[in-house]
Amino acid sequence: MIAQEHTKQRIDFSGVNAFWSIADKITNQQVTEADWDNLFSTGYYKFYEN
Amino acid sequence: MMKNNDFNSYIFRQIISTYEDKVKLQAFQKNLVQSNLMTKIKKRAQSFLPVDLNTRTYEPFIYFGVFQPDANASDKGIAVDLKLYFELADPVGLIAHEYHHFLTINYRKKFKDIKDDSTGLIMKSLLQLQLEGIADMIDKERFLNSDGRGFPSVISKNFKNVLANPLPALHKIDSLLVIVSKEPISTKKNSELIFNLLPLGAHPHGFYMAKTIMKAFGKGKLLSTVRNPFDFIRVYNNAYIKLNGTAIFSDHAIAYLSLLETTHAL
Repeated sequence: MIAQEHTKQRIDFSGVNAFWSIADKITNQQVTEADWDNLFSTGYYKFYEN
Repeated sequence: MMKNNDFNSYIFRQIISTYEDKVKLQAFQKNLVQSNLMTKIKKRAQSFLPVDLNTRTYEPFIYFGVFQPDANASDKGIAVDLKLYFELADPVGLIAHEYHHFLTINYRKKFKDIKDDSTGLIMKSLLQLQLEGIADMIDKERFLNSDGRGFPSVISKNFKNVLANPLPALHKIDSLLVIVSKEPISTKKNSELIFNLLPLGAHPHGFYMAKTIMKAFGKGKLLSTVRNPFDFIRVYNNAYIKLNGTAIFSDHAIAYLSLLETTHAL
């Protein structure tokens, strides 16, 4: 069972943190492709890919 | 540019307003890290979980992000929009609901994915009724009492409308199941009709069915259906008979569902 492998609480804010970062860069017109890649590689966005 | 009632424009506004509230939300995020969230979630969900799922430690990944006012669960984890969580009247209830899904998806009876399955949408409808119905017992009273604060207002309004009159759709589903059992060639078309009779992801109908089971037989009986969505339908039908003297799902429909359960069993 997949759930039994999860023995520790994992609350992940990397999706939120990547959002704060990219939103700042968009505001300052400094956003790059790497910033988007970073945002969409976080657990939150990966969740919605599946 | 953006139409007021378009869901995409709602998402744009949600994202823009999330950034506008950055300082407030970052402070909230910091407090959330220190809030012992998992303990609160488990405490809230445990009253609608079978004892054996309650007494062991199954912990999902919980991913916070920014996208749309929604939360979802899979067999691996939970995803939650931070601003939605911030704005809800009952945020712990929302994640407890998703935590219930996480456990149910992992530990309820599994069914075969059959290629080009003409009954696929019937199966999906049954799975949704049970999944959402039982989990809604955790949080939907408070959600409806707050008029669904944090979500688009149309959601709680539509939820209440369906919940006020759930029986016509269930009667129609019964008659469609009977037709499908007698005319297999009509299965695909009628499967779509059945699925479309259950709006909002089958939440309101499932919630009504779970409440009916609770009213007729109590919580123990409701929890006995967590591991099998077909049991949920059968027990609901018996609950309705106990309360009203007649059935919603006919013997013919129930027999067809048992056949579906057998043909999809792993």
